[in-house]
Amino acid sequence: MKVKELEIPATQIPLGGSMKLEYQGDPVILIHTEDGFSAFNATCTHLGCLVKWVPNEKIFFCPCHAGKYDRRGNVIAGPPPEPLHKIHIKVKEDSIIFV
Amino acid sequence: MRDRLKKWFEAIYDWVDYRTGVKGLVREQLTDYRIPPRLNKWYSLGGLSLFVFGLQLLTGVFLLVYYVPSTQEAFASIQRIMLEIPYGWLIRTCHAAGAHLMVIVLMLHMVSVVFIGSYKKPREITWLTGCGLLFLTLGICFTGYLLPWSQLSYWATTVATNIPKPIPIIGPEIVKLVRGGEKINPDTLNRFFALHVVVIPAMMLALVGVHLFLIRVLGISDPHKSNEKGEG
Repeated sequence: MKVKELEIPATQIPLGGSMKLEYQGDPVILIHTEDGFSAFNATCTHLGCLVKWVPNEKIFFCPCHAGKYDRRGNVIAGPPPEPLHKIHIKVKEDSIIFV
Repeated sequence: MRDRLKKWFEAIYDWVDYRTGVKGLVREQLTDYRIPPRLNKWYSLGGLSLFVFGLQLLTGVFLLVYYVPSTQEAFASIQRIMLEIPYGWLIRTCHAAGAHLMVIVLMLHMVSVVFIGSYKKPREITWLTGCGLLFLTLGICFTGYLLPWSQLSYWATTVATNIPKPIPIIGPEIVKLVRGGEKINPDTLNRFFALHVVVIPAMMLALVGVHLFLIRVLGISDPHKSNEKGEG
């Protein structure tokens, strides 16, 4: 059984930007930083709200109880008990592929 | 004119009394009902919570007339209540404020009952039905909060229904059971609506009935009288 792949053109996300999408039923947030592209499950590990990317602070922020994560998904402030769940992606030429 | 009305009223009252004995009931339970001396403001909290509950039922029925329980129309119907329906904003604000007030009044009522010690024998069942009423009140607040289907209510319910998740093994199943799915979805709104307007109010009315019946059977608790039973 082949899992359906998702392909996003890399040009859609400028450096410092982010994109929200749904992948396999989960809300996903895709960011573009100096580390390159990375994707996380956008569900806050505290109580399940959706985090958003704050470009000028380079953090993920959850509006429900002010949980904060750095650009690698690690908790830096607030109540979340564990890091954001990372989603594996591959960058191939000009597109980002979810595998 | 007034005399004639009074006469008619008395005639109807007599007719009903002959068939039900309502006059005796009014005399025993209302006009000649004795309460202990030295009662203070703390004793009014039970009656006050009943009053707020009545207010919630009344304003709730008004809101029910215009509210549409569907994810497509719920928010728009709330906007209509707030902006178009004459005094809709007042009714809805009363309903929201009344919900807060009811929890506050019930808590104070509970505190006074604990401090006076009136939960003790023979009033344990009154106390337990009161506890049940408190939890039902919290439940009705919780289910009502989702109904506007706003960002606030959606995420508040997401957060609150996530709370049982860390319970080992059964936690995720409880979350699914409460939500009726993996996430908050249209079925969640519909089941919360059913709980909020039918199931919980009916249970509360039944428990209020038992609670009030027991208060009348056992009489008002008087802390100055020791070892009393029954006579209030």
